[in-house]
Amino acid sequence: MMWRFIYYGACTLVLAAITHIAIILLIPVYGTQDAFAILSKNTEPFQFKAMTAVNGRLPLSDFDPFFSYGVCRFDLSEQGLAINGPKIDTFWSATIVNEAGTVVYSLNSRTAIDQKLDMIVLNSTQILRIRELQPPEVESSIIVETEINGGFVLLRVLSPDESWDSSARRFLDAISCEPYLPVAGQRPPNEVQPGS
Amino acid sequence: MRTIIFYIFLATCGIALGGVSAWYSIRHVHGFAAIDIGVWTAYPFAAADEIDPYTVARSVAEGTVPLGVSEGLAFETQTDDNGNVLSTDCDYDLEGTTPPSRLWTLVAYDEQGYPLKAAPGGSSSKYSGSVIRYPDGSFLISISARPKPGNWLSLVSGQTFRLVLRLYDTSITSNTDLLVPEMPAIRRLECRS
Repeated sequence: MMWRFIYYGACTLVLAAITHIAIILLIPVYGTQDAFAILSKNTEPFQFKAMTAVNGRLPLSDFDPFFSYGVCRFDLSEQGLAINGPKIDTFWSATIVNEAGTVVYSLNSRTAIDQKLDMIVLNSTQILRIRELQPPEVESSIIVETEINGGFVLLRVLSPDESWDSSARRFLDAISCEPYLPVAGQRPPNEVQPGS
Repeated sequence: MRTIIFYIFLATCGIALGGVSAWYSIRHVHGFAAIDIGVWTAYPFAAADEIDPYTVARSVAEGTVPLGVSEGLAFETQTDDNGNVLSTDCDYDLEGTTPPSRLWTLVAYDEQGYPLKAAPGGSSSKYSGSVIRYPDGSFLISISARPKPGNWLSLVSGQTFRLVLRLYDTSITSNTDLLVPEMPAIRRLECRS
């Protein structure tokens, strides 16, 4: 009788463990309240959008009130993403987030080249095209290779009080977030095909 | 018939136990990758490839976007140094220094993850650029529903809250153990019931 109860208890615990693991692993797959789901509802792919507070609240929870935010959603299945912004002295940072809400890549104004936002996001196939074509952008942009197809870039700009808002706003207004297709750069003359 | 009902009962217990423990671990237990400095907890690897499934589930369930490694690191706490839950009915002193960073912000959030309402004339968040410091670089921030001299983090009484200190562009994630990072202490002063 005693062993029987231990057996039933063990079965219950195993079932509990399976349920526990299944729930933890399935939340990212079926979750509907995650950042990507919230942002997808409000944004179009390859269109940069400054996030504006509704009733003093941004759509994302846990946002930092000293920063202004902008978001650019992308879909790499057909083309890459080129995101560019002007140079400003204010601190800014950018994060590439995948559909599960995990950060894939991040940089800030100090780690960026010349403090400018100039980034090209590509999947592994598009990277091969880049290697082959050697477009001029590879020399000036940060090239990010990802294994994801869908995701978004979240841009944060410091704006600690109202007097900074206009410069943060100007920066966010000047961001371009566009599909990127590599165009071949100038090759050395000896590689030019004869007859062309 | 009785055995079938018994098995169904066991299965229900098992599933319920699994569900409750999953919910609890997302809400209350911190992931394997968390680091603790005093009462402050951060998830430096919430933004890396080796992210653990609990941290993923947590950020999905809460709808947050964690700071990337090169953006910064967010430390949060729900309790003061003695382990009491932070409540806007009490006054607190937050004193000390932060690990090196280009700038930091301190924000009080409610349970839904939105910044707390501030009392008139105050703000429920602080930015490192506007904090008054002692000559040695340390600072004291008074957290209270009533006006305080110096650095005042203003709250409206009647709820519990959570403090998040975000270090932007910090070297703490790439440091070796030679430098033990220090976080400010949170001391509870008087409470009003």
